[in-house]
Amino acid sequence: MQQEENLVRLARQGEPGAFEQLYESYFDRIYRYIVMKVRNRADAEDLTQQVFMKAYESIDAFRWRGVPFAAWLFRIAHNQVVDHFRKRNRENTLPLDEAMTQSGPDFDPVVIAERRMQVKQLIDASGQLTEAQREVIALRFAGGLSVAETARAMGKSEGATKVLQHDALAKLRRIISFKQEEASGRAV
Amino acid sequence: MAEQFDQILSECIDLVLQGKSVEHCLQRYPEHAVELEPLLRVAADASSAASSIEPRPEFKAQARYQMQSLVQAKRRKPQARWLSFFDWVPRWAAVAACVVVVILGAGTGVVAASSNSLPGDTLYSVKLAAEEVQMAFTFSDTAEAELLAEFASRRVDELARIAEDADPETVENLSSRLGSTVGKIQELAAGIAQEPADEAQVAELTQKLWRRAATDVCDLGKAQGEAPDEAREGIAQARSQVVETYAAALNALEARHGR
Repeated sequence: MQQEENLVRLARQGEPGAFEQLYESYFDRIYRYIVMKVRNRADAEDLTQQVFMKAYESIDAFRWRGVPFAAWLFRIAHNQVVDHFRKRNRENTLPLDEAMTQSGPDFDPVVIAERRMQVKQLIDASGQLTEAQREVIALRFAGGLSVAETARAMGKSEGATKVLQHDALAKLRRIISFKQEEASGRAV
Repeated sequence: MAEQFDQILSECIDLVLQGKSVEHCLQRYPEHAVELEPLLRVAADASSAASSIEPRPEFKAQARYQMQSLVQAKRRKPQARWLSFFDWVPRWAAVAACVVVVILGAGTGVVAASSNSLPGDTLYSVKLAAEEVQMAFTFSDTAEAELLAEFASRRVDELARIAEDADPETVENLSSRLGSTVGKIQELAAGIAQEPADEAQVAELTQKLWRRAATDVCDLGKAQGEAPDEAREGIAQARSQVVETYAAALNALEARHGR
């Protein structure tokens, strides 16, 4: 954390390499978070770039003051996603893009297919959560934020965030179990 | 009690996110194992699924390049010191442009009305003509570059406003006009970088171009998101061109400033 605080300070001073290091640390996590929210590769790519442009543009205004950089950055990502849906006037209506999981030559097609199924299952199930539950799942598991960072990004207390996380996981479990039972019933 | 369980669950999720097994967590809290296990299995699956989402390597490379271009351009951002006489030229030129258009018979109302016009509107040609006149009455390279940057922002704004309903041809034409405008800025910047000029004026121009570039790139990103699929590619190309051309222009000016 101390190292990151240092990097942010150096980035604000225009120190070579500082913003680039923050960018590299967060790029994949921001992308995953956005994919979970928009379910579409092209939109996720555009929005990811916009998040870092915005962050770079406004890093001078960032003050640590107890708000971790991660929470601030994911807040920007959240706002970009909200803005995106507001302008498109629709939410999560696009089909999940299959090309968003890694599919390089070194990967076993069976493993890739399983992962895609897993991602699809998670995103579909998340779609049935409340907005706040979906946010906590996206921030914790796709964004890799701690509870404290998630709480700051969502503007909630840590206690409330833990309750939300518990409720979200319990509901996800029910949804996934129901889907699996439904699928096995169909198979029989 | 519930609060305590939420705390334990949270700690265990942190362990799962760090790569520890569900069993490891259950062994730490055997008294809560029955309640914890199903939740931790879902958490482990969610973590595994989310971590398999990865950006395409080519997208990552392109995004990194674009970001680096802008970061490098801003790195040696000079501080503005004072406004020189020439900073007043665009304002004066703008007034002159309006006067000329009035003399030509277009009328001030028409010029004002044209400022919000979009490609395809009758008044759009008046808007472009007024810009030409402004350019004709601008006499220094730095003032011209600033004015062109303002025009480029107008084109970006127009792209953003028509994005939702734009047909690919309109987007292409507007993108091409935008590309040509930023191309002229790059040419002027290259010229300014080679010639002796007022350092404060160049510093001020660099700062203004940087701000325009950052805003325009963000706005184009938003426009791209709103455009129908068939128009997106055109806007994406325009955005790449704006990033690259501004980066080249700013690099040239910064290199001069650093001399």
